[in-house]
Amino acid sequence: MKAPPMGKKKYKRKLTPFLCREMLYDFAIGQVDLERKQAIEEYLIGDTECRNELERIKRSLEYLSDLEKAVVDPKVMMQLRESENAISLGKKYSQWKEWPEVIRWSISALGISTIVAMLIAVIPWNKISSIQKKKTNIVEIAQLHSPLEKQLEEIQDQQEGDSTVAETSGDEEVEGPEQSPPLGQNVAARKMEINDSARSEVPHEKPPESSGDQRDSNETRQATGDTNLNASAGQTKKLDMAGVKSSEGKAKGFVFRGFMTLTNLDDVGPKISEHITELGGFKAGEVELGWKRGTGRYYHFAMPTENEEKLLEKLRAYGPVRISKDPHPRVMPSDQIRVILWIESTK
Amino acid sequence: MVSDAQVRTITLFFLFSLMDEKLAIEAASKTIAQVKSNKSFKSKKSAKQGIVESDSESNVDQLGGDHFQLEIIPILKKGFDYYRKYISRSQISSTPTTAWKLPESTSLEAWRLFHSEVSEAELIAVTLSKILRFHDESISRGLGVSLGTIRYRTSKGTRLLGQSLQRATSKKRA
Repeated sequence: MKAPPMGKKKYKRKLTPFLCREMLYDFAIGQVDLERKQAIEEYLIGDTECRNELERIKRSLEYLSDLEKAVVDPKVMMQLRESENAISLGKKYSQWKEWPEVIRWSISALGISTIVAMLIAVIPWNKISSIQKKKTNIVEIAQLHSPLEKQLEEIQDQQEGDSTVAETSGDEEVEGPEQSPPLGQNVAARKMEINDSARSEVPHEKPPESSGDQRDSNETRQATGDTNLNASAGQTKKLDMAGVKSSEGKAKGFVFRGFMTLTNLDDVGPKISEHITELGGFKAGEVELGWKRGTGRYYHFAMPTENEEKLLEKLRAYGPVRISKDPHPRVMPSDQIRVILWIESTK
Repeated sequence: MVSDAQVRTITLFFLFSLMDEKLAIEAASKTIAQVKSNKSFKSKKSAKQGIVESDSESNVDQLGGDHFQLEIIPILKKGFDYYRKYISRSQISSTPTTAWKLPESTSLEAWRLFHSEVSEAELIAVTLSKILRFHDESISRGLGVSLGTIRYRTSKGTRLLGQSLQRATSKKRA
């Protein structure tokens, strides 16, 4: 094909049916350039087949725009909206706010109650309450003694009453108005260590007494204060309670009270008496060592202080010994201790 | 969160491409669950606004923009490939339409004829481009083919649909 001569019109390519057919779709949707559009329009004038094809394409596009208006049934939409798989469910419920409200509230309540329970268990409430109750006084409501202790006290009271005149020589014995020390005195004396700090701070304050000791409270207040001053001067807060006042302000000595329960007391009893004697012990009351009373034996003796441990060792060889140190108005010499031992027989 | 427009788009794709309501709903359900579990569908816009639907917005905006189209097309293709083996395209004669409704003057007969004759690639191109109004660029990127290929498939499919329409009209007159 010859090229057009210079200055002449550009040669137009003739549109073939194939090319026209291929471009009909773009022509229908208006996506061909101007030159091609004109070429196609010119071609369509002479080609029926392409015109039909164009018509079909246009109807097809109209049909497709109708199909675009399709509506999905609302029930189906609702069902599909709730579609979940394992991953989406896991993601959904990994967020706290997506959990059902009942479960959220239940877990919150459980967490709070667990924290409160842990706090209650961990915090030392006893110490807190004890700090607040430093200055409180202990009130004795009732004194409970075992039958053996009661019996022993009765025996001792009996002895103390009998030996008042004989034992006062050389000893600083302080007797109360009654022959037997009141129950309140023993109780208050035992509690002295606990109240010691309170009393030292408030010299004129004393613990409440059990019934029966009220009549001496006024007299002994001043004595209590003086006693405290003496105590603070040099005496330590030992269990021996030296210088600590009783409810009546007169118990300055102490006595060791021991209890044992043994079989074959008839055989063992005399042996124990021998041990006591060997260690320098001697009777401190009216009755002899190992005095038989009922089902047991009663030992009331004094001995040198340095042999106390040896005596305990010998007694433990026979069985367990329960021993306590209690204040008592009767004051022994400083190198001696007084012991009241009661051994009950078991058969 | 999946918007109503997105649910509709996914459902219609499977309804038109599979021409089997039961299969289409099942495929749509799985696809929607997958969309919910897929982090990549949470674009900045959709994440901030949640469901953003209003009648005045374009279809693209309602769908969540090009981002949604780019992400959903591969999933739709995958779902179609999985479920097409369960349908017999040559035996699609009557399909119940309880799950979806067309305008009263529109018949599904032409589409059934078209569905039985056209290739799968052209079917998907026509469905996405002409019915669901996806952008050609998004379709080409989603399917991994060139823009020209998509336009060729769309034009060929449209022409075939035109022929099917003519045959359906002839049958109706007959």
